[in-house]
Amino acid sequence: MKLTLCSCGHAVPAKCIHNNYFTTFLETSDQWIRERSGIVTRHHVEDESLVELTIEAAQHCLDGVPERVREKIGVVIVASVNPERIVPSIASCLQTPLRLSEDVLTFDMNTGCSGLVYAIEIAGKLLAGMEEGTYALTVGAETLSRMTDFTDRSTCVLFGDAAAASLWTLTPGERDTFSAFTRSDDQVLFTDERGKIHMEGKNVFRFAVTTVPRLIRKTAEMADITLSDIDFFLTHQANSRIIQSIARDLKVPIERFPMNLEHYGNTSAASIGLLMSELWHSGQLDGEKTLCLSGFGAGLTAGSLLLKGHRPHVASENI
Amino acid sequence: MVKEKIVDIFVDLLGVSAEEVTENARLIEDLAVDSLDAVELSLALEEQFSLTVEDHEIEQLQTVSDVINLIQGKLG
Repeated sequence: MKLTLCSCGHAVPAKCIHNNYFTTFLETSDQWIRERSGIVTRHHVEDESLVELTIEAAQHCLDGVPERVREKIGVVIVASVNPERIVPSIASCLQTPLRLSEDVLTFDMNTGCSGLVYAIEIAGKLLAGMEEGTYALTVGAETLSRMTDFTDRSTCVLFGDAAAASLWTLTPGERDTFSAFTRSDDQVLFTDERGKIHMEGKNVFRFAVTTVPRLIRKTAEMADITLSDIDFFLTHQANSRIIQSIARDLKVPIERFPMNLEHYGNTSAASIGLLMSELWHSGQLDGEKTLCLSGFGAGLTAGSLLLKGHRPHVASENI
Repeated sequence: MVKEKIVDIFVDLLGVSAEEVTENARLIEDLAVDSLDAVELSLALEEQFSLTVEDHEIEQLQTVSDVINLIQGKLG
């Protein structure tokens, strides 16, 4: 059995901030930010809560599926690095507003920017032990603007807020392949005593461009396919330069690495889901698609999940 | 041989022509190498020549000739 995508949704706060905003209080420029990150705008919360943003993304995801599917959602996992409260979990807050069964298993997890890829892998493993036809909802949700040091010009221009949800079930087919990476390091990417993100940009860059290509090659070898068989490489949207370097290392045309970080910045665990949702709603995930999802970030952690010959699943087929 | 391999690295990394990668070419002013390019350059040099290039070594380089000299020095 293999993980199959059934629907996607996303939500971003209304407030959109252009690079020029940062030039009003920092020594930086629109050109400098674009050239080093590829980012032009990002969205920041004002009064919205992370739970509200998460519910909106999940509602958007479930808008596209029959009402009865909600009752068959057995797993909800929310990946986030900055929940507003330790308890209750964000995931548990979704049960009532989304009209989910009280039998649903819900929890939050934090694996930095690798979070959503890890959540999807775990969701697949949990579904394998559940009744056939059960669904899993995975959400990446972040309000990084609340953890941003706006006096640090090297990091504050990078981060955005967003939530993105995806609905999965298992269907007959070859199992997916997954590779994880962890190396303990609390000096490269961490939150300081004020709870603000501190990042050694060059070291994160070095980590990403050396680790992610290796994991992608490993997952492809495990799946017994070549890189040319992969339609889309959906990589954490941290920085266009990182993605370009990964594509160059793999000798894969950059067109197979879709990007939307120009509009949203680095939204941590939400970024791959946000990208997937935009592709889904623009019809680009139609047909038989092999997807490779790759996250990387704090930990240091990274993960690649290869969904072979992925055919989007119509949720109503199973009911 | 070292020089040719280094020129190839610059061409691949920066998308410039081999003719632009002269020994006198300045990394920042002429080839527009920025801090992230420098990280990639050090990684590419390490892989190509099976050696280690420290960040502070890369930061001191000003021209293509400096890069060639650094690598030739490390290779002995």
